Amino acid sequence: MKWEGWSLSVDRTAIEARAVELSKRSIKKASKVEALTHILQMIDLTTLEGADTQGVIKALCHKAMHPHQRGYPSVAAVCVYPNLIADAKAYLNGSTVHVASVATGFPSGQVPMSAKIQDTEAALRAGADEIDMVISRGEFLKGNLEFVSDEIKAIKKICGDVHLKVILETGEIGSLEMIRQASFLAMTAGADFIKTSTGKISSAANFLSVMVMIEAIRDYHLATGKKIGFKPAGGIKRAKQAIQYLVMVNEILGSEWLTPELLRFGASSLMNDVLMQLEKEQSGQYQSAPYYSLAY
Amino acid sequence: MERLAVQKTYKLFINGQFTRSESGRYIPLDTNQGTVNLCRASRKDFRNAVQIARPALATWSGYSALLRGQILYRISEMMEARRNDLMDRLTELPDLKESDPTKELNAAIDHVLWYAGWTDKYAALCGTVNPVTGPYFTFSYPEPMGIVGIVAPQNSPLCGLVNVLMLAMLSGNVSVVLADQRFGAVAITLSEIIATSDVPPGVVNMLTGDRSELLPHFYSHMDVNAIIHPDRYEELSQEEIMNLFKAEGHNLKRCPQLAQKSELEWQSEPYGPIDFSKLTETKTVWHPAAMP
Repeated sequence: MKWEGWSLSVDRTAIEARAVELSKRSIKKASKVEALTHILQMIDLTTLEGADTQGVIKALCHKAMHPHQRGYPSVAAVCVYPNLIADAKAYLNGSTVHVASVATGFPSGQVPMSAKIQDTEAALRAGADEIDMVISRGEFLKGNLEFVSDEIKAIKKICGDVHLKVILETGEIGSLEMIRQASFLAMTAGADFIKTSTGKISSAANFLSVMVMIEAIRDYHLATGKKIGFKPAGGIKRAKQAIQYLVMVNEILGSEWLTPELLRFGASSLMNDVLMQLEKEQSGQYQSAPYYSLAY
Repeated sequence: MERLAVQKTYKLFINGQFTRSESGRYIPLDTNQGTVNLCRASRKDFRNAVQIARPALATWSGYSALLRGQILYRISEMMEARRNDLMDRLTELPDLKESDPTKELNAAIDHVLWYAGWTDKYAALCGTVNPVTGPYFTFSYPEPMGIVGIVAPQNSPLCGLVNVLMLAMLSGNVSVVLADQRFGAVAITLSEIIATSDVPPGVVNMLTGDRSELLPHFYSHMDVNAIIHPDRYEELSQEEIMNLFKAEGHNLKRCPQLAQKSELEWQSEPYGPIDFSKLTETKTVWHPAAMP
């Protein structure tokens, strides 16, 4: 099966076997500290709740800049709703932490195109450094691929140099072949990153969809020479899971992808687990959640 | 043809399930009936047990005191029902010196019943209405400490274990128990009883393993709130004791001093309300008596 010259075949059995094999890599001691420090710097610390307030954003930004008293590096970005970008920018002033904003009718994307454009323009005006857009899964599932491609192109045009992450919401897309197709669709339409999930449905990032997406990124890179970033998101709560994804990216895409410019983790509670594991490696003591500030 | 009996490996009891150690290690245990295999827990098994125990705390301490009492009562029922099994484990022990197994078992069951009766009564003794000089009340009442690491007594195979475990359970604590290595088969049999007594998964986690390997982790884990280790001074060198004290100090673990007991004393005297309060934190609340 092909689409626009891209092979869409997915060997499910082989991918399952490889995912299992890669997820069993044992990363210990110094390598673990190295991996965790990488992951920390790749986190998009996220809060996307209706109940978010300026106070929540202030705490989130502080945590993003100053993860721990031991002085671990800050995270890559905070990810918030468009209404809170200006506050996040103010709190992060002078730091290296970016402000990413969801846009285009997040999380469902079920709003008119004009609203998606307005949503994105407002986010950019407020100062967003990165945009996380959702695709219209309904149109994609209907087979209206041109619609999805056009909307990504339109949003990318507005974004210009601002990094655009395209959320596929793999849990709603269905088969692995369709996830591969959506990945190519997003990359050819101009996505800088492809992202697994919104985090708003129960079926979020998992080994198989992640494997399919990074293999698509690899194939796109081999064919075009362009490096597209990858962002697993949703349900990544444990440092161990994040290390498994890191291993997969390293094995399939190579170590050049192990940078915040090309790999991000969309998460909230992951950060504290990473800090707890780092602290365990430093002190030798297993850690306790109440000793860590809330990650929103 | 003679039938070949199925030999049992005594698994760890973590999260309501009987699992082997993640390390794959085991300890051969000599009994009067031959050698049996116990799992040898690793620090990761211990860590997993603590991780599981944390959410179980909300469930167990959220149960009404009456329900906790009913569940402890059910444990005594199940011990009675599995009397023969427990008797076999006790009589297999090569070095049960002073007491006979029947007395040990009877006392253990009776003591569980004692603690079951206390669950909805101890708060009345351990809590108070405080005297104040103003138009308000203050009340103090006991709340569970949280996750209790229990290092089971070395001189009492069942009764000692039951006493320290029930002491933690009755006030709503959850526990990770390190059974004495020699009495591991008894402890895991007791876990099988607990597993069929409506105790929520994760409330009691039973490990068998090497003390010198696991004790430093029991004492240093930041998410363990208290340690019961009734005979901790007997087995350890001065240096080991100091290291444990240093480790426990990091998160101000409570390490209540409980009276050291002989094998026969474990059978004769269960813990009372003074000891119950050693595994509780006191919360005091203020309430206005009337509008001025």
